Amino acid sequence: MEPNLRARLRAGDPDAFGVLFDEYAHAVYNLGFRLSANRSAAEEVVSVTFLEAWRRRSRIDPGGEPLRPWLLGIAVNVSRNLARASRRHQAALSRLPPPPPMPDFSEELAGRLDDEARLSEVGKALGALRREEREVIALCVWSELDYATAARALGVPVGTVRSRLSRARSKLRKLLPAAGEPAGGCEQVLSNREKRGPAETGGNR
Amino acid sequence: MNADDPRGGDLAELARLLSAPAERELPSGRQQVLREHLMSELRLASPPADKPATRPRRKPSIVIAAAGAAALAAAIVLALLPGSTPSPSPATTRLLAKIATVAAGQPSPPVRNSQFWYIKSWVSNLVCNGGSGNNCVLEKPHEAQIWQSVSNLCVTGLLRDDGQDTPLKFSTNYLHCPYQGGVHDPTYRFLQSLPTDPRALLSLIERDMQGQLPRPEEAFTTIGDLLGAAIAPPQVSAALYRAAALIPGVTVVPDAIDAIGRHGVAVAYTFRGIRTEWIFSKKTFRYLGARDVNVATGSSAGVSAVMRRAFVDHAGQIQG
Repeated sequence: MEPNLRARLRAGDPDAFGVLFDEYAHAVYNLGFRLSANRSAAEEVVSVTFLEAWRRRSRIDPGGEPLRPWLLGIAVNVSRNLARASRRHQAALSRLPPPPPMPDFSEELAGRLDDEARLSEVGKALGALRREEREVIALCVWSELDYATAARALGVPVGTVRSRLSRARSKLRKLLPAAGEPAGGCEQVLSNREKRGPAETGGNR
Repeated sequence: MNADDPRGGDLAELARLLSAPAERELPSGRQQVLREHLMSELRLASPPADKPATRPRRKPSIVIAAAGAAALAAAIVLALLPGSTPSPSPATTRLLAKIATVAAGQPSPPVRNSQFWYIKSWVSNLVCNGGSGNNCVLEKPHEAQIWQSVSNLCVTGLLRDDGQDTPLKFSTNYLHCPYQGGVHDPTYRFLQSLPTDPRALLSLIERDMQGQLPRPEEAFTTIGDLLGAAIAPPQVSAALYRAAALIPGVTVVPDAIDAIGRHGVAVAYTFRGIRTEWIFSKKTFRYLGARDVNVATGSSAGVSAVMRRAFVDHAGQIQG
């Protein structure tokens, strides 16, 4: 299906972009959320990323790389400077219905606040890293791209991805010494993960 | 996480240190809202399926082209936009005409395909940590030097940002190499191929805004990027300035300051509370830099100053 889909994407068939959206909106949203720790920013990343993909559709090579890393690479660039990236698409964004107010008290809400607290904790440590290091973490650790694919998505050499990850690791070791021991931080993580249920496995396509 | 992943210890340890935050679904209903929004935007931007080459909505502007620049600008607004924005004032048009004349008179050295353009700037960007509008600070001005192939984006260039080198490598997996770029990622050879008639040039820039309706703010942004972050042949530079004079809503700011404190006169466009200024020397009318100003607070949301533009033989080679 992919070669045909690519041809339709390249030709500017809106329905093909609908298929692309159904397939990858989730992955883009997650990456945007992890880089911004903010739900409405993550939604904006989704919209702008797919509008950017449309703008760059002539570069889709019919026999090229998988589309997911390509989209994630765009999403990293969009997240990097959302204000600037959105400016190109302001007119379109102005037509996007605003997000509804927070849902009523519910377990779902509690779970979300929990996630945001967790993200903010991790975010403090991540804040000590360079932006480039955070991005390779988001792509390689959380979105599970391999080094070579992440390098292509970011448009940098593989060695650069590797060295950014190494630098990030040594910085974080100093910042999070307790979590460095497999038992300590991980239990916390596991208890968070159990709440997540099946969504965990759905994200890795 | 993939336990048997051969990617080495860094990833495994990072995963343990940071623990992936929860995968999450878009809030219920929002995925559908975002999808419908995307589809309606793309349909707006798509040419009719049976006539992909023609753009009926653009025809009125071509018909009226003979009626003069001001009338044309108005016609474009009427043809393309439901609202109305004033055409640039005579003072704005005169300033841009003067700037264009100076640009057209610049020397145009011969350029070989193997060369790189070299642009040295001082820049200070608004850096946001998380989301739009929150947590944003203006970073300290720093030097940025860029080398990019004049003929092929598949050739690795170089960014030296605040002393740190980053190779600029476009992923060749997504390009047909050699690639001369486009309006949004131009090479010198691409810019040489552009029309020097301002109306044709503006029309081409608008056509390249795939994904959205032609909007004045997008044309202004695109032209601004070409002026500040590229080297265009003199006649194309001149045409870019003359094209800007056709964009409704473009105004003059009598005094603006670039990233290294040079005062100049600016050509500006205000959109959603941010005034983007292209700053020019009041004496020579040459491009100095650009600035984004938050209209409500008067604070800068990004500023640059171009120090040097040249063609060199190797990435990393410094000239002047």
